[in-house]
Amino acid sequence: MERAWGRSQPSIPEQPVRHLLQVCDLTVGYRSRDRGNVFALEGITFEVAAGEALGLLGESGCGKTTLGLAVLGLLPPTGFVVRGSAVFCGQNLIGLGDSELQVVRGAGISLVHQEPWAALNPVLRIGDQIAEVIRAHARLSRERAREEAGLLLAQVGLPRETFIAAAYPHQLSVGQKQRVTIAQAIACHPALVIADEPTTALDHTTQDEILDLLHNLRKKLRLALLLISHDFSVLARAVDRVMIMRNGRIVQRGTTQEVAGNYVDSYTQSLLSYPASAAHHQNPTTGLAPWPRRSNGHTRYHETLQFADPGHRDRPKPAELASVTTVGHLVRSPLTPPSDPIPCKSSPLLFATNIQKSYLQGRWPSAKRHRVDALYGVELGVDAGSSLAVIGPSGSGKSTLARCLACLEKPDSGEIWFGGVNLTALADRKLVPFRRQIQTILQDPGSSLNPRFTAVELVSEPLLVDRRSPGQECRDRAVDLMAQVGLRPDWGNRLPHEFSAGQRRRLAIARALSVEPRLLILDEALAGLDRPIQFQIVDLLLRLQASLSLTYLHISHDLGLVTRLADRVLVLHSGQVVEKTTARELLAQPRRIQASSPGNGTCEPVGLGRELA
Amino acid sequence: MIRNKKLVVSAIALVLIQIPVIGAGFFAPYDPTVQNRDVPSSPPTSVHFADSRGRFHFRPFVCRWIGNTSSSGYQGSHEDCSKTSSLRFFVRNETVYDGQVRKSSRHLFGTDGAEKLLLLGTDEYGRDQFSRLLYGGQTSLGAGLLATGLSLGLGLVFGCIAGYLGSWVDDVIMRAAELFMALPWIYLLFAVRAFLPLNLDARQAFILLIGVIGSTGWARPSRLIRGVILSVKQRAYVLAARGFGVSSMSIIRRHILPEVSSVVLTQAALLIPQYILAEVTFSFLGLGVSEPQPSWGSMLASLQNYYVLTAHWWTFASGLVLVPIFFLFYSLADSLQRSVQIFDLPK
Amino acid sequence: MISAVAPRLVRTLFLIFGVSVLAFILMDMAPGKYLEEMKLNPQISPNTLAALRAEYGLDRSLAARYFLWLNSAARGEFGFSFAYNCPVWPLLRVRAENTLILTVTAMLFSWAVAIPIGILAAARAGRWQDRVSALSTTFLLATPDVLLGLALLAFALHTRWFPTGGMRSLASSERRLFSSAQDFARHLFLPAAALAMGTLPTLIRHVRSATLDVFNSPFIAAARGHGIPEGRILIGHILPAAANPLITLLGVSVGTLLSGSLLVEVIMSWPGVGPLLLEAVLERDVYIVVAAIMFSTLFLIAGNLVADALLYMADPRIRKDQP
Repeated sequence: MERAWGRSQPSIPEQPVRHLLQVCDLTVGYRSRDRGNVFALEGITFEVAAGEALGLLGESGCGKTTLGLAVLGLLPPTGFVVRGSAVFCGQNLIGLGDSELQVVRGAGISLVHQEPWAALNPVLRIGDQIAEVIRAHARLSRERAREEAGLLLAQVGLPRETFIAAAYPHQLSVGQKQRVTIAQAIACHPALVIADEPTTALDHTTQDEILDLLHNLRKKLRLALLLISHDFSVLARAVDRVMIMRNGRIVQRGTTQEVAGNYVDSYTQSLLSYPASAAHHQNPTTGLAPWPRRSNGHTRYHETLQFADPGHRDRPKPAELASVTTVGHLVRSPLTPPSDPIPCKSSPLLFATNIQKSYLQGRWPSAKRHRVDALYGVELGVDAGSSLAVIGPSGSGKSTLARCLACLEKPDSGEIWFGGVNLTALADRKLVPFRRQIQTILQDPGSSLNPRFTAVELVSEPLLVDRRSPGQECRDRAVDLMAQVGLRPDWGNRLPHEFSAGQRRRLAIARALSVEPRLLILDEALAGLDRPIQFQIVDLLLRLQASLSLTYLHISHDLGLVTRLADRVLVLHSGQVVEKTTARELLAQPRRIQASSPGNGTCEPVGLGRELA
Repeated sequence: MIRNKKLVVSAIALVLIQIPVIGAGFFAPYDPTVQNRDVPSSPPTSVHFADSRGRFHFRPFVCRWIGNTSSSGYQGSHEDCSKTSSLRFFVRNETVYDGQVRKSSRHLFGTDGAEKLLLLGTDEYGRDQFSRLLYGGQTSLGAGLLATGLSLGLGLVFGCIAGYLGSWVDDVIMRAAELFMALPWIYLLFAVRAFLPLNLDARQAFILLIGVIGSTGWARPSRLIRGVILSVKQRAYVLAARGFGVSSMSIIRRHILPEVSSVVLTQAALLIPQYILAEVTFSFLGLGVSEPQPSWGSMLASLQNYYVLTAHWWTFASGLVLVPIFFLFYSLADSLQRSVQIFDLPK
Repeated sequence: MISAVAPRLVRTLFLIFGVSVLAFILMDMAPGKYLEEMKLNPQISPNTLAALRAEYGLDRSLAARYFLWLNSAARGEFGFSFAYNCPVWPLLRVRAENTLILTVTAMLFSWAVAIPIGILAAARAGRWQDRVSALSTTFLLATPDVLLGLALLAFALHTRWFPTGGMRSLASSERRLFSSAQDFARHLFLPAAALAMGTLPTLIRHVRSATLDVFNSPFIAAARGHGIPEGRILIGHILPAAANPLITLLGVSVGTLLSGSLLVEVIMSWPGVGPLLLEAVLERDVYIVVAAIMFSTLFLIAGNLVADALLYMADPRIRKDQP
């Protein structure tokens, strides 16, 4: 579909020229007050041909977003280009003035942003925002531009019937907002679209839809695509060629097949991991998803696992578990608590039956009050030394379950047995020692660590509160714990914001371990981290489990992590248990779980609301 | 760090300003209530180094001021350098009442003779403005500081109660705060002042003023403190601490108090200038401390007369001195706000 | 929208009544029995006294007096002024109008100056324009209203460009419309300027920070990325997004303006509610004090309601029901 534009547009030649965009030795730095000049990109060189799809893979903070910004001259005031060129259709974009770049932006090269909810102006209507982009590059009347906007929305899968054009951004779901930003990006028929992590914020189903949409648009409009992501599975589906970036440099490039088979180091390897849903083979021993195999048949991960995790051989094999103590078995038999108060090896450490909890919504003097069922008839059991995962979509009641099991809240009904003791029957004061045996690590250590305390103070707080040992001993123990979780002892005086996200999780783990718990509940503890960091912490957790005989209860929505960490899986939806299975079965049929979870992209809390009579 | 430097400089400057005010007895050359009826409304005395014969004196001196009395009444004053007194430091002043020496005190500087050094001139009663400025500072600054203490104290109490107990107690206190904040501030002050007696002696008026200003200002601090307490109570680290079995008292001590104290400090730096201004406004309008106790506001009151406004420029002094003081307080508040800011952790 | 407004209105009504009760109680506690003082005043006849006593229940209980006052409020009188010897409302009405004119003019002045300077400071954040504006606003902030008013008054006296008090010149009613309007404007200028300068520093700071927040937000960066020119971004994107915090500020600044107006009116002899209230306090004229306090509360509440209504219209996130 060719349109006649009023303003001049960089001419796109009819036949595919060899290179649409040619970046040569691009080096970009940022001025930082306390650290001098920092290089974000160094010596970046690549080409994009017309109609081709190129992927850029790298972990967060390696400079991927800076590339897109630098090419279009959108660097913040602290950023500057040291050297290099970016030639687009014969014109070097680096060093061009704002007015000249304005012509290119949106009409020649356009940018799809990473967080769609942030890229839309909250006080303007969707249709107006798209029309705005059109009118910036063409002399069309308001009505015409709005019509075009409507057509564009239909193209990205939001037809007229959905009334999106008249809506405001806060009324749309995340997936719909992403489609709108894509519509804005293709509004002026650009030659190249730079998509910066377009699927990171979305759940799996919506991710697939967006990738399909991009694919179709590419074919229809003959777009070239530069797709930036930290998730290789996304790139594998959408692009032909891939570049891998680390610390601002490109370390490897090739077609997706080449790169997947031949990673140059463990870093790349960790980046290239597949989530469980894309797995093809299974390792029979551990029941975990495989690593891409090297040609000699062994993968380095297996080597690391065997040498660093001596307890791994002692863990109950999935086959054993399935026959003796699966939760499914327990559910079918009548619910009798173990009469023997001394727990034996194969009886569950934690055992909960018929947990029910509901909340009253609405403030004190308000007229309408809803009773929302957060949990209804939940049963589960975790064996000592094993790991159970609870998965489910957001709003399914996972966090409420974690709080009830950690004795931070009392369920309305049901029983929780821990080590042979009925916790729900105990008074609050008697619960304190049990609370210390069950520790929780929360999703956002950003707020679970008091930002004013130093690392040592944070880790030693539970010990100091106990008052059993003097202050210095507690601090020494804290330093030991920090070493155990892989943090250097001389970092003890740092504040939380001086640690990276992964290191903060380690701090939280160290603090939880200081009271020597028996059960550790991890409530989305690894969410928000890059894959390589997640795997490092997974390693740590497995090692600690073996050496300290810990029991884990994982709560997550990430299937890839869950299958690595846990033997058995419980699926929760709308406060009820819908499935109990093992990790192996989950790997085999992951689609079944997703099919039972609710619709696409909406993140509203789900609950059975019943009005109080 | 740059920010901390600003904080330290402002704090030190403010303390330095307080010193002459607190030690007004020493720093002020004369008694603020003594009237010199022969030189009313005279400009600041000029300090001379060279006398009329052109001889340079190492020690500066002042000349005598004589009023121009004429048949139509008082018409300003002029300098008569036939009689001079030199400036000296650490002068012993003797106040004479009824021919007898009643009070003898040492002052930082003064003259050795009968002529007076009037650094900021005199008001219409002939009282030395400079001394009145220092003594008036005691009233105005003192009222501001004490009123801030009162209102922050009340705000702390109510805010803590509302934050901890929650439910209906919280609602009642917040409705009351809304009521107090429903009026524009000065109107509220007037309303409360209105029902209190008008003619009081200086000391009672001072205490009354502090009470009025302090007790009407509790609403905003209490809302802020309550907000802080509510938000900290549901932070994940408090939840985690409960998981370790930390007692409520310890949670308050370790986690909540530091947050509250930073809010209180910042509020103090913002409220003190506001309350000083309240006292000055009251005294300016005649509702504050009464004569003969000096206050910066009542010193400004004479400016309401147009003649004084145009001719006697030195009377502005008590108002002008407020500007650097407020400036220092506001920059202190700014740097306090920035230094106690918690670094936002990225998600 | 009705469901959102109704509870607010109810709460507002409660607030107004609460304030009136509070003010009444406070005034009642005032020492100095005006009734006795009035008896001593030879100008007031015993008949008037008796009529007043009956009408306002001056020797009955507090509650009775309050209800009688409510009655008189319903009649449109709002009590009786013992100093002026007439019902309160006619007195207050004129003064209230003048205060409103002054306050609204000052608000327009200060916003007209604050918005451009604030936006400029935000656009050039960190550079010399920003620093100069920050320094001068802090100085202005540190200058008390009293000093500002007096300084402007001295300025008027020295230069004789502006009149130094009052609302109109003596002969203004005889002039034609245009010159009388001009005369009014000249009288209004200095008090409005004094009041505006008092609120200017806080306004500039808030405009700057609201604009800066929006400047740095991702959707503005995205708009630039789409090639929309900078001017269009400023008007079409930044201003609408910054409208929310600014309108909230509007509601809050009404209170500050009212507070400042009292002092400015007294210093510059503008015939508003301020001087009336001062007199009433000094003379223990109960009903005027109560009425003046009610007026100020109402004005403040009305300002907040207007700001809320504007906010409702300007920010779609607040309108949850309509698509």
